[in-house]
Amino acid sequence: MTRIVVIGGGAAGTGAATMALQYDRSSSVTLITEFEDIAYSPCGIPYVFGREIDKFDGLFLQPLSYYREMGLTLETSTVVTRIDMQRRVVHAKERSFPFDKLVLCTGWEYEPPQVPGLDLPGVVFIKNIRRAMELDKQLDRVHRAVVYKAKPLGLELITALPHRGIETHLVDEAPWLLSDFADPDMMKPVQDSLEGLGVKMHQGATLQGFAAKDGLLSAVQTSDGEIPCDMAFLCTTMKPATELARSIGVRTGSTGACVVDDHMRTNVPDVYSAGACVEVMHGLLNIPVQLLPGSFAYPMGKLAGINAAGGDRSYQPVYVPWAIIGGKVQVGGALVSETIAKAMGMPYIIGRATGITAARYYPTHEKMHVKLLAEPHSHRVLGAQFSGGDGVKERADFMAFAIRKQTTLEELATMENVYSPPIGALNEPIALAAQAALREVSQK
Amino acid sequence: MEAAQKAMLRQYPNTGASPYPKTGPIYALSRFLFLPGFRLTPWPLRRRMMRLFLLRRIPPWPAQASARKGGDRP
Repeated sequence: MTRIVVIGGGAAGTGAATMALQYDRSSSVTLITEFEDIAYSPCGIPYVFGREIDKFDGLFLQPLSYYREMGLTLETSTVVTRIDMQRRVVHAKERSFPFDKLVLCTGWEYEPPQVPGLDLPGVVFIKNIRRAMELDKQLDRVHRAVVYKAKPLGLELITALPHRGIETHLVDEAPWLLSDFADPDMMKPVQDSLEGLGVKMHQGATLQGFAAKDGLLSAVQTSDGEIPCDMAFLCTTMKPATELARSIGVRTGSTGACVVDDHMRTNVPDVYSAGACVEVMHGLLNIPVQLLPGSFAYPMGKLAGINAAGGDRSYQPVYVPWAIIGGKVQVGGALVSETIAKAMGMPYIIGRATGITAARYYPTHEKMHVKLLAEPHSHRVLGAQFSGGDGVKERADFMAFAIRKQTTLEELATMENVYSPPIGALNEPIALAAQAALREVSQK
Repeated sequence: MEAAQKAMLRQYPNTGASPYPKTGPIYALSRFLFLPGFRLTPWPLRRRMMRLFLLRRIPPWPAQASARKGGDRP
């Protein structure tokens, strides 16, 4: 009987533990997490705050009893203090867990900004769902909130909080929203939509501290001045949580995350790692990327669990489709963005088009702006971005797959598409953008 | 990445953060002085300033050119 210990109860950890047990029913699988819960979606928390989702219950994949009945040993609210690789034992306070195979899914943690006032009541981080439930009750008394940094979670918050009637301010040193992987021209409709919802944008402003009155948060201090507020959500830079991994000699890479091979094995024998704490290769850029969201963490975790239980599965390089709603605008794409291409010195050509998401005579049709990047000589597609109405997510997924398959502009320009008045226009916007790029190339 | 972001803002103007600081007496006064916050200016003042800067009297057609062509009509 193989004893498998999984540390971490997020998407990767839950996937690893359940799949290890399913692969080898004779194995003993223990999942250890420092939190009270496992297998919930922290990305859904802003939508509960904004009352688009009724209750926090909906964010849980399954209740704890489901996993216990499956045969998993769950150790919640258990903090791992050290791992003894010699004796192959994971030590927690007053408990220890022997293992044959270890799977580290320790996820990520926030990098708090180094400013005064960080420990004031009202200055909050969003991660633990129990803490989010307490914050939700406090939000009824909040009239003005500041969100620091427009990372994806921050963007979800500034979209959701105005739904609850809270005056929302965004403070971010970055020059535009999601500047790490999206282009400013594609994010402009999102910015305009958020401003239309009443969100006050303070981009280019530096966070300097938090002011207090009677021991409670009263304002956020920025280079743009003081912003009075009742609550400040810090969606700061995240970093992979690798302290435990490094304590047993797991190698970390240039991103700070654990280095794993295509089987999720680390350099330490019988130790696997998966999820936000690992770096994986980007298929096009051939550089490591980390802190990928749940849709990557879950399959990585499942694969690590299967391999820990004796399987032989491999993980492919990633092409990172992404999508999010900001205000009333959907935006998304598949890396590489024009900004990243410029930063890396990659030559590219651009194809742009604005199409529609349904037949032009159908009342619910919306615009769909498309921007394609392609290699100038081979016309191989390097990246895509979309902003507009429904269908951004599907197009982002499609383009990530198309880029994986080394699709060219010529193939996209002649792609087939569905025509159905409520859901598909005659001309697919992606094809229009590819045709525009080829037209521009032929005219040069 | 920072250099690329700056280049992108030059390539796509008006998509980034506001270029001017939002503190100080000039920002406070700019609400009323139409400098540079166009949207912040109260509309009666905005309208007066726009008319002052942008509207010009239409110059009359030269009388001789008008006479040769038989008037203004084609």
